[in-house]
Amino acid sequence: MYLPLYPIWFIDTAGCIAMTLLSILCLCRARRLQQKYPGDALAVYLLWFTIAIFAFSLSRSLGHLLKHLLLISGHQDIWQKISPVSGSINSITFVFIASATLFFHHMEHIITKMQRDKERIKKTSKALLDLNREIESLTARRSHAELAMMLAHEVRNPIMIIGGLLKRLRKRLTPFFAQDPSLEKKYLSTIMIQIENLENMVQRFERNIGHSTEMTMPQEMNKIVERTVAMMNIEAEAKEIDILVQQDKTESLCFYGNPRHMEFALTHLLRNAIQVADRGEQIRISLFSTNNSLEMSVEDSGPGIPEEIIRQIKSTVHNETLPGSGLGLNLVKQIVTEHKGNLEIERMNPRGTRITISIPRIPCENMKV
Amino acid sequence: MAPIKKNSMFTLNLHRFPACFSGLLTLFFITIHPGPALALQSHGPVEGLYVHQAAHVFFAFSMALFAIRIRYSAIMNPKATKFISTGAILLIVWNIWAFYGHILEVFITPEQIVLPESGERMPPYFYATDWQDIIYYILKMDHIICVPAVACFLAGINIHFRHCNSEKLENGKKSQSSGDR
Repeated sequence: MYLPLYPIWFIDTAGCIAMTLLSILCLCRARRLQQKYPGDALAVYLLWFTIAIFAFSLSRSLGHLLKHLLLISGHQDIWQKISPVSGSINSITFVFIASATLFFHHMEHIITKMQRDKERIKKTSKALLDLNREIESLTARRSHAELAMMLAHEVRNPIMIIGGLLKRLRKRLTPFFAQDPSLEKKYLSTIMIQIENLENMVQRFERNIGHSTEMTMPQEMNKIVERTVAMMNIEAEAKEIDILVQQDKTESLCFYGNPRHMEFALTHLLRNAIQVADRGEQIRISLFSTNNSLEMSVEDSGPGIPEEIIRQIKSTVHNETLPGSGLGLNLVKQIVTEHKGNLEIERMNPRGTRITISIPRIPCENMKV
Repeated sequence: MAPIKKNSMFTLNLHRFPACFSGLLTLFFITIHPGPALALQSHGPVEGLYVHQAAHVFFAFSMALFAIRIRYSAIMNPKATKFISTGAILLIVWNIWAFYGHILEVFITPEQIVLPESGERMPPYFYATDWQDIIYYILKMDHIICVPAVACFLAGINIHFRHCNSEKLENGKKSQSSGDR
């Protein structure tokens, strides 16, 4: 049976041109995608994939077109010489494209991991942002409270002086008021009553500021530690630092206080520890209970806090403004003190610091309340 | 006379003597009776075909894995993955197509392909003697498979590109609206 070669030649030639053009379009689109999203691993992979497709199409098409040209022009001998080279290049492009596609499995794994990390970072960033906002509002409230305390103190002094002077005046003017007791009642007693009212008001004001209880309720320390460590792990992982948490998971440790403030205190301690620790080191958090208290310690292997700052922090009493240590430990100490707790700082031998927070523990049944 | 150092290269270790002796003996016999080393393996023309066919198998295998993985992958838009996996499946078919084409080509004699001589006015034709030759004739038109495969890849990449753009636009709008709040 005689079969014309023209259909084969036509399909081959048109196919070669179409395939080359389509692969060029693929490559251009993938390149544009990669340029638009330079950090996208999938875009980089698609670029490599289309390069492989382009190499495959081009080597095939060029070989086929050259073959037709040489056969039509009667140069079969030349084609006989070139044919093995063309076939070898084709084989190489097959291997290239196969390798690129086999790599997809690893690429998918990397991209999935990247997407997961991205989500995690997004979530942590939001948590950090919320915490920072909370810190800002906490600092602002503290400043207002300090200002109010100062104002109350400043107002009370003149009231005391006026009160004292009025008492002395009343004593001196006793003979005068003896003549007309209604005058005493009319003037001096009224002034005294008003001064007492003013003093009571200042006292109430101070009391309210001193016992400001915002969002204080029974809290579970284990969960706070878990949340904070999850949040800080990204910063730690960037420095290849491991945060090890030693706690008895069967036992819940509860306290009465503000979870955001405690979270801030722990975040601050962890951030300091990450900053001072060297790459590849460990930070240990221990959470345990003693008789009536709950103890949480953060241990790092950094150079340690200078003795002078430790002394300053130890000697500072509640409501006293701490000297700036540069570590924000003053705010941490204030938070711990507000929770009726203690902050202990120890220098480890030969390197490192252990900061222990101990606060009163409550039974976890209170959590239901 | 200076004493010979214990670890000197001139120290004669008697326990190594048999090994040294047998080595020297072998070298001696090799030198006096030389023969072909057969170190380089020669490759005949048929090996080229085997390598090419092996490359086709490898290509088809990798495409099969790729088609399965991308079909169930969540990293791309489902419509885009559908097109790309279809392209990969078409390339598997093409590889099988080409593989059999190469096998059948071995049985084609040069006389079966008749090309016009210079000045001769006749169309080129293929002389098919049996059904295998007819299959070979059909298999020669493999572009019917591989062109749609590349077209599918292009469609998939285009869809992915548009999806990325719309996603970016949506994210931009979202962040803008959250910023306004």
